[in-house]
Amino acid sequence: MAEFQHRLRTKLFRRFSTQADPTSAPTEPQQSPHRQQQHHHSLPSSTPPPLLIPSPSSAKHPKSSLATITTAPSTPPSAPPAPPAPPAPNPPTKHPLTTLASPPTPSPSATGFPSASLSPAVKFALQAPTPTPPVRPPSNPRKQSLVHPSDTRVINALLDESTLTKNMLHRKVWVRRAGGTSTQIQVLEDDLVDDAKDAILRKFANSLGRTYDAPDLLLRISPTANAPTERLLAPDEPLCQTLDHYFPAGQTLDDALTIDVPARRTPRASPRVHAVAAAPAPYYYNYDDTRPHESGTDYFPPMPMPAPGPPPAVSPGILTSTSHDSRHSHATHPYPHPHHPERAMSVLTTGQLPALPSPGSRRHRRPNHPRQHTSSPTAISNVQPQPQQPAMPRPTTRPRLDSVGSVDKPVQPLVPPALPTPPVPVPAVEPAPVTKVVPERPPAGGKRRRGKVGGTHSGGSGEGMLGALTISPLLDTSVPPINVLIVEDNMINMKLLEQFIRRLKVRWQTAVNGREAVEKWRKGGFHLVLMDIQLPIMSGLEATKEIRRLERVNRIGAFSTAPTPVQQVREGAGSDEAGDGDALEDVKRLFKSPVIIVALTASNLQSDRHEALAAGCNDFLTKPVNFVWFERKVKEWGCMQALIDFDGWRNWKDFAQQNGLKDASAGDGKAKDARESAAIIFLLSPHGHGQVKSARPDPARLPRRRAKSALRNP
Amino acid sequence: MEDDDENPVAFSKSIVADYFDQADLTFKQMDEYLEKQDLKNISKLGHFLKGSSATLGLTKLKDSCEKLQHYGDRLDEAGHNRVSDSQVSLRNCKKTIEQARREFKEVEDILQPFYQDD
Repeated sequence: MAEFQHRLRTKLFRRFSTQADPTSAPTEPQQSPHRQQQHHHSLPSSTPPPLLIPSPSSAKHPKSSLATITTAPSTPPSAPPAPPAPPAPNPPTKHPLTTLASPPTPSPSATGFPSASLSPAVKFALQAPTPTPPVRPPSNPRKQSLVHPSDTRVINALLDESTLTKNMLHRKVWVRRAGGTSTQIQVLEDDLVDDAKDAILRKFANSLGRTYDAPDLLLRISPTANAPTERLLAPDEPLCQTLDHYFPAGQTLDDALTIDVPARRTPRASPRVHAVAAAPAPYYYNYDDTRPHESGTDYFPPMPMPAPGPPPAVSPGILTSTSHDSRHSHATHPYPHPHHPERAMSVLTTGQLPALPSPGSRRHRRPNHPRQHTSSPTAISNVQPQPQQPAMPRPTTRPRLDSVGSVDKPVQPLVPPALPTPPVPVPAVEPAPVTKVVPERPPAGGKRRRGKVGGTHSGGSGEGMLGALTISPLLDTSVPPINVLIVEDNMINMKLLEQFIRRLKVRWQTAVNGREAVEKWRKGGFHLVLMDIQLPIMSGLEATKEIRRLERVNRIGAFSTAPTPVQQVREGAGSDEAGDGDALEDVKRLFKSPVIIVALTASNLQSDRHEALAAGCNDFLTKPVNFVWFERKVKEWGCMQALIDFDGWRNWKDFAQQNGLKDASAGDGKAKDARESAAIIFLLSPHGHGQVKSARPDPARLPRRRAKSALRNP
Repeated sequence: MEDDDENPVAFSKSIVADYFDQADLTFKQMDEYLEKQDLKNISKLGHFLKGSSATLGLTKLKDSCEKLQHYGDRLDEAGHNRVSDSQVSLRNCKKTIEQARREFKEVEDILQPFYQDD
């Protein structure tokens, strides 16, 4: 007997040692359907008796038999001497192992090679390795089927039924992902569905295991005659029992349980997809616009997680793609994310609905117009608003973040408190004491000097409003202390705009035509011009062009340090030739930066806006102007100018000291105020002390030191 | 001005009163230009009145003024196509001015009680 066994083993070894390592066979996805009926018994044992199991598979088909004899011992010679095992020379009517394998339920077919259930896919899968028809004659018994040596315990248990326990038995279960190839996982006979999920994750270690936890998986069992409804397996179901119930004849490859995975838990928005989907015309700025949002989605999923929509099994693409590369997966994601509209709106409503702060909206339209002749604020505004864009509508919070702004803006409001001057814009009221006081005291900010220089029009030029210094408490920086020129020919509109600007409590003047606007601008000191386009005498566009030309000629702003562009421009455009009357007075002091011109366009025609921007306007407001937008524009451009004009504010202090102001004490007091306010601002600004640079000893240094020490010793 | 801040009604009154004056004057000027067949200036006046009408929210009047503006520019009603015959444009202007006048009258009748001079 033993000798017979030994011979048989040797023979088998010789026969299969040239084949692929049989122990690895079970993990191969390409498996013969014939193995599905096998129950692999791999329990460790010190006495592995190779068991011969009769098999209908013919020994004449080596490849087929490989599929059958997957548990052939790889190292039979090293196996310890086997205890006497019953060789089964004849096919028994009852398969002992199979019987044992499923004691609680009707046994899977002992003879079962359910050839009838072979699907075309299976046949296809079989074509590659072998031309063998999947249907094999069951009448051809074979005796080479083996039990793995590690299953010795089972064999022992067979011999001694009292020691047999269920969990000694392993069983293979077919599973597959939706659209995927079926594969087998190994479970214990009494494993629950929950345990099977663990096994599945081990099997799909790459595609599923990296993304999902076992409890996330869902197993679906397909309907059979026994249980006509397809259903999800509960985690606490005994898997094998359920399988046996569903497939009394044994689970075939086609009966593989389907692995469902839930919708991805943290789907990351693919910015490219959104950009394309949101904007029919892919503007160049889309990527930038969405960038902050994109980074945000790492932490805040853009859509509610358990999207009920996509059952993953329906679309195989999801399953295969999700786990690998999130970007690609989204590119192929058939279910658009529900937050598209948000972005779509942000693009589509540009400039027309008050959903966006204007720098964004302006930018959207701008690219069409190369703007050679606008100078620095435009250039700056093209770049800067981008990171600041979210903050733009609420500039009150910004000063602390931006050191320059924090120094500049709140400081200027601080200075006025030294003045008892209320904002008195209109001569009709005629507050005599006020108009006298104002010119004497240099107002805060570089542009305030206009009050001295242009003091002639302080009194009663009609609409020249001087002394409307902003008296706003520190940090109540609703609108920075800027000087606005309103150019509007229609008295009705003008009245309304005046009313608006009064509410903002900034200094302002008016002009009723383009010529007057240019003349007023030449006197200097304006930060912002609200320019109607259709004006008598000289249109708004002409006036804008003229202002820009004069800025170039006088090298205001960016051109003051860049002579080359000026020359180029002069060569390029004859109209830029500086005439005799083009020199502006006191350029360095009065024109710190190019003025911001906001066009007031009557129509919402794109062409009008483009025209305005091309003429050198920085922005536009559609008429009829409503107060919200008006305030926004003044605020955001005012903030911009206040930032730019920081130097002006500092220079003013030098200027004030050098010239020995009439009331020097007042000047000193104000300078002191300014220093103190600067110190406060520095305290509030985490980065403040790194930004201000000055070659000469200037008052800002003192507060800087103070602020630093204060920061160190809070 | 502080008065206006505290008394929005007064401000509104003054604006509406100004508007009435302005519109009256504008219509007269329009008639004059119509006499002179000065389409260009009619267009300008149309634009002018359009602005203030829009500011006051008088959309009907605003639309009429816009038409007038287009007609004065020798365009069609929507401002898309050219109208070659200036007489057609003039007729259109005349018609539209009358229409705008009627609309203005309506507005005046409605608003006058509310903003009667005090």
